[in-house]
Amino acid sequence: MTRRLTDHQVSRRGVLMGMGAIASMGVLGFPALGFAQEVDGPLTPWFGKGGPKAGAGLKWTHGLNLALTGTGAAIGQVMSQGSQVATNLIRESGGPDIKLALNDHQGGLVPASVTGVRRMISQEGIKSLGTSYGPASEALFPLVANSNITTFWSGGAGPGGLNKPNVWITMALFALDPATGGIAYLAKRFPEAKRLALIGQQENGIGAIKGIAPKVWPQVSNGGTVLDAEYVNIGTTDFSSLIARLKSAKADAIFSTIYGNDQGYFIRQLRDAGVNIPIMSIDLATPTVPDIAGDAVANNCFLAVDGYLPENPNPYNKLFVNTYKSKYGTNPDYFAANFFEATNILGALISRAVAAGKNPEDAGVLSEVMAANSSFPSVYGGSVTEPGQMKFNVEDHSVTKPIGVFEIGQKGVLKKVATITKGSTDIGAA
Amino acid sequence: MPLPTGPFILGETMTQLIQLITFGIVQGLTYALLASSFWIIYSTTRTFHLAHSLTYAIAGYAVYVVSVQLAMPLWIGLLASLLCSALAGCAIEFLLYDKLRKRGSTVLGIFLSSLGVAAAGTALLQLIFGPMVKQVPGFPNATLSMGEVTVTTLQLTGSAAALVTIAALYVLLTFTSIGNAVTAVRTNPRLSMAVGIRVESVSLLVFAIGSAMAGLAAYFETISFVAYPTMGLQPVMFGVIAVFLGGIGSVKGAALGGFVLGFLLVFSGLFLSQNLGVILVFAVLLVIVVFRPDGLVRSPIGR
Amino acid sequence: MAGSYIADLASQVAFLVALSVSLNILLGFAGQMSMATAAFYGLGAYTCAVLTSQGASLTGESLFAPQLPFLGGFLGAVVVTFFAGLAVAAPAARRVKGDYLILLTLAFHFLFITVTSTWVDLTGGPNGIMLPPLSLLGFEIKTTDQAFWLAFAWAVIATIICWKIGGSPFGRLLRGIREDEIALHALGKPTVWPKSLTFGITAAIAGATGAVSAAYMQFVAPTTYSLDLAILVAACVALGGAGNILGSVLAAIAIGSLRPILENTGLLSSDTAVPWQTVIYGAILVLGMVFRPAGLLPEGFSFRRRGNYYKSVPGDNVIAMAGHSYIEPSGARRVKTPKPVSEVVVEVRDLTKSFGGLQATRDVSFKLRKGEIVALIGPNGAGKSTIFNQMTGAIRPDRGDVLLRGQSVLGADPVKVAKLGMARYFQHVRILEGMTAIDNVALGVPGQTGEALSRVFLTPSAVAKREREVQAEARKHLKDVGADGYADQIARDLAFGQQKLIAFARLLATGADVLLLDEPTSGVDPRSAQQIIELVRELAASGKTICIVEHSLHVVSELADRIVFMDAGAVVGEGTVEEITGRADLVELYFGT
Repeated sequence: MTRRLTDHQVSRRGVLMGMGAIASMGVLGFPALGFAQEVDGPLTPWFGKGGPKAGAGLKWTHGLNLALTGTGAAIGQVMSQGSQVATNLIRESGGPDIKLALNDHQGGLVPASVTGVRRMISQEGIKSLGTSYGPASEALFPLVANSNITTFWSGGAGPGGLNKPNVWITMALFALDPATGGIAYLAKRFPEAKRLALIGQQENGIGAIKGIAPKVWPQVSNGGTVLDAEYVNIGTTDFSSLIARLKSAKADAIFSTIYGNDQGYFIRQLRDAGVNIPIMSIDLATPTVPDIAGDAVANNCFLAVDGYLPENPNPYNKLFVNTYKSKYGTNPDYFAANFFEATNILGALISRAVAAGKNPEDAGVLSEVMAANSSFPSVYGGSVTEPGQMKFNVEDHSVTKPIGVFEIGQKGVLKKVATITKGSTDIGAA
Repeated sequence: MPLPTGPFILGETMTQLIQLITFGIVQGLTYALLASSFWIIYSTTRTFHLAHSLTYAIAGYAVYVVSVQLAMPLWIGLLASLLCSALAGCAIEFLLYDKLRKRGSTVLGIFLSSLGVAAAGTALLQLIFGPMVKQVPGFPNATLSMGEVTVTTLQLTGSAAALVTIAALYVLLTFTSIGNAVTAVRTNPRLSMAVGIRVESVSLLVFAIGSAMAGLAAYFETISFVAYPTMGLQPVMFGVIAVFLGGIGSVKGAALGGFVLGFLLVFSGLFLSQNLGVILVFAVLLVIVVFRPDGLVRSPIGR
Repeated sequence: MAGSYIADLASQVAFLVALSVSLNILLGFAGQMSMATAAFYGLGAYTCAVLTSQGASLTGESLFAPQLPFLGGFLGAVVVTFFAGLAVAAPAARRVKGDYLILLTLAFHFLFITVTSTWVDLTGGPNGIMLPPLSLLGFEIKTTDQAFWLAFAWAVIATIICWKIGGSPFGRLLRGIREDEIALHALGKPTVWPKSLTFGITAAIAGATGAVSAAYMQFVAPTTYSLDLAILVAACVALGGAGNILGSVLAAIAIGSLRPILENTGLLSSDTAVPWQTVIYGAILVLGMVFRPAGLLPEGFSFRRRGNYYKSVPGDNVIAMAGHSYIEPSGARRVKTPKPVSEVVVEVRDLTKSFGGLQATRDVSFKLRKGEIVALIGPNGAGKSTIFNQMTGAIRPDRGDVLLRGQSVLGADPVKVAKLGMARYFQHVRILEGMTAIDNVALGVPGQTGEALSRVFLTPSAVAKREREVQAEARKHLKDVGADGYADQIARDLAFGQQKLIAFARLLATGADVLLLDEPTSGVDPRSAQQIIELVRELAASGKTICIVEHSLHVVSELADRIVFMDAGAVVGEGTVEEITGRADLVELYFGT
């Protein structure tokens, strides 16, 4: 809190120093180590000291492609807030001076997304991008590949983003990564459950429904069966026919990849209809879902996800939560956390590039730096003394980060009940 | 894609059937209410009033403002919903459609301006209230079960309110002098003008009635779930479909259309995955429009 | 695709232009309210995507993918959407109209969207499909600046196509369809195929635009083809001016630039630009409809018109001054001389028709001879108009027959009957109100090369030559009825009597030799009535066969060589004016008691 008061002083000094450093590097042609002055800041414990060597004062514009209107508008808002917190901390810690530019893809419209990002590239000069949503992000891949825009896909990421040039997925793959562990947990917690219903939208989660669940459930449930997959359209608000089918099918448990507000309507109507079987979902992050679901959300509902807990005591997370809270008055959520992390990764990559004497704006430089060291601190997992860790796979550009199973409480408050790993049926302690 | 078969269909059919009928009645009555609300406006004034969706959302936000922001009881919220929606509908009729008709606007012109109102109004709601959904808690809701078949008190109340409202509309149209005037304007506006009926007043009246009916539906959706700027789009769209499904000749046709639509959506679950049920609705609508444009209930009055 | 933002914006606007001009043909000219624009646009995009993609969805499923080059995808899109347009037109061209057409096309739209979201194996579902980088005939298009020229070229091509259609005799036919289909049928112009073709072409242009945009975006997903887009395009047509291609182009450019302007002028930050843009756009739509219902550039508006007005028809004012040279000076009452008995042209035999329990006509028989004027008279509800309806094929009789030059025309529709040379003049005129007098008359001229759309594009010079003849002919007929003074005025703005004269000119233009006239002088001022009476007389003298339904005994006695008297659906008397007026029972029946 007190740091924020010195925010501007630090950054103004940083700008001057940075300009001096860059000028001397450029003009004199050798690293201006003599002028370098190291700066301590809030992020220093995990990202190293700031200063000209860390890119202090370097002007950089980072674009954010988010849903700022429409049903996902609330999500876009907190995402940009998470990024904003990160850029402030980076500046205070003597890192590059990252400015944010916004584009509204209007809840996932492809033309709005592509044209808007192109606008940010040409009009606002963005050098990197954070993006959310499935199709609205996937549509950008050709553009960011050709325009040398390092892109962090940090919301609704699916397998479509794997192996795409300049695209890094900074979150667990939607549904795919946590499905195995989540289903294993369901079997362990409810050993009497035999018949598993599979429900989802035909989007990113489809691989979990079609591929993972039918394979994993019979193994872990000791001879259980999966019922035929049920698909619903995105934006469904009435689930009555589905619920009637669930009732008659005598399902014992549900694995659901429904995301967004739809999940709230589904849970609410299911519980209203007196069906109280456990639900393992992979998304409940939309902040409006608990409002829609009401009390039903706290009734036997679980979440297998790179679940975010604001009360996680890891020091990196505490810094994030405190800073966020002092600025916006509430605890950050999953989306804010993911964009916070991704923006810090960007800051670290720029700093490392500058430290290595390279121009971070040059094509491929950030990827090279990433390849050299792809580990970063995470607000997920960790301990009282250590932050969690996230590590990118430099081949396919996915990330491995702590995922867990959570029990959902009133108002959507999460309680971690198990730790799981991508693609594994092992259940670790909370 | 392969149709889902197996255990989902071969479950305990009786239970499923009764549950489906229960859901079908609940859904059907909601759509019947919406269909009747659109029908009374459309059939009387021949206005393809898609801005009805804005009226619906205004009613949703009215109960939020009154019962949450001003912390008044839910029944006052209900009155606010009905009043605000009726006022909104009348304002659109009085300030826009009436002017357009007098200027000899085409069907397309009225339709497009209606869409313009719907788009601008919905965006304004978002600018005023923000994009977050608004919850209105407090209705004492409970799940009642008869064996495995369940229904909530909220669903029961909403369905009963819808039924009573539709019945009241029927009585109003059939047995009162106001209803006679409305029917006269609906069947022959010129002639009714000649016999001294004030067509403008009747138009305002049907906009008030229809909008308040939509407001009632919006009230129940809001206290059941939440209010948000675009909440009116889907219900009103389905209401419109229901009107043409049932037939535009009478309130019975419209209400029946809504009922059939609700049942169709729910009962397609017997054979089809939920997402295919929606496709079925549009396919049925296409068939009806092409092969039986009078709708399911043919009527001597009307087209 | 890399490249500049401005070029990208310009491409988006170009797509909007192409969609708007194509919808204008359907909506502005033919008057068909389609809300399926986005569906056709999306269908074209998806067709191109499926045909050219590399065969894997973004969720890793393998998809059907022949991996054609872009041109293959483009042509596929054109063909698929053209036939989809025809399919939608199948009901739309025949009976689905007005609000029902809105609903039909809406249902088609939603069907398209839900199917693309659901049929994952073909469409990739909500995640969509990626397309390979755009290349045209081996030339790789790498930047938006290059792609813009492609989009621009396509928009120009689409605009030229639509402009050509709009300005052709086919376009005139479409505007006639918009105004009054039944009137066109009576002129011998079929409407089902032109309407269907227009649906097909509009769909094909939208589909082709979709293919270009999909290849440009390298991506398709269902959300792109929202109903909002369909509404936006319809708004461009309505605000620009229905029936004016240039208006659509301007409106599309203006509306397409709205969001970028709001975003880049810095007035609004991006997260409120969209709602504000929607508010502004909605307000423009409402205000535009209220204050300028005909649009920015109304139909027929031309910047050049004033300068060229007289140049287009040399000697125009001379003709206008010449006046009624064809017709004798009015007021000179002609003494009727008995005509020699000439050949029978039309024979009506035992026409019987009942509607439900109501007997409309019963065993009605009479003959029409060449050069003769027969008046069909009788009290209201005697079944006179029903006889006309049965003679022209508008109503099929329960029993009886209609012979035209010895051939039965029973079962033929009004178009066929009119083509065979029996044309009808409606009591309520059925003038095409939104069109000029000359266009009204030109529509009556049979055998127009330019009404076949293929000829408009394949043999433009033949079409232009024929069109000059048609124009000259139409002008001649207008002059014949003395209406050439207001040839270029919109029919709606003319007095009723003037409209009746134009309808007469239109009837003459059909070249039909049997004319069925339903109350040609009712509701007309005496001077115009006299003019019409002279005209009918002249026509009979020139060898036309005429049957006239008339209430005014004055007109009947002036014109009729023979009278067929009908009451309660049956013929109760036949003879000369003197014979009929000599029968007290009929006079009493006619004037009532």
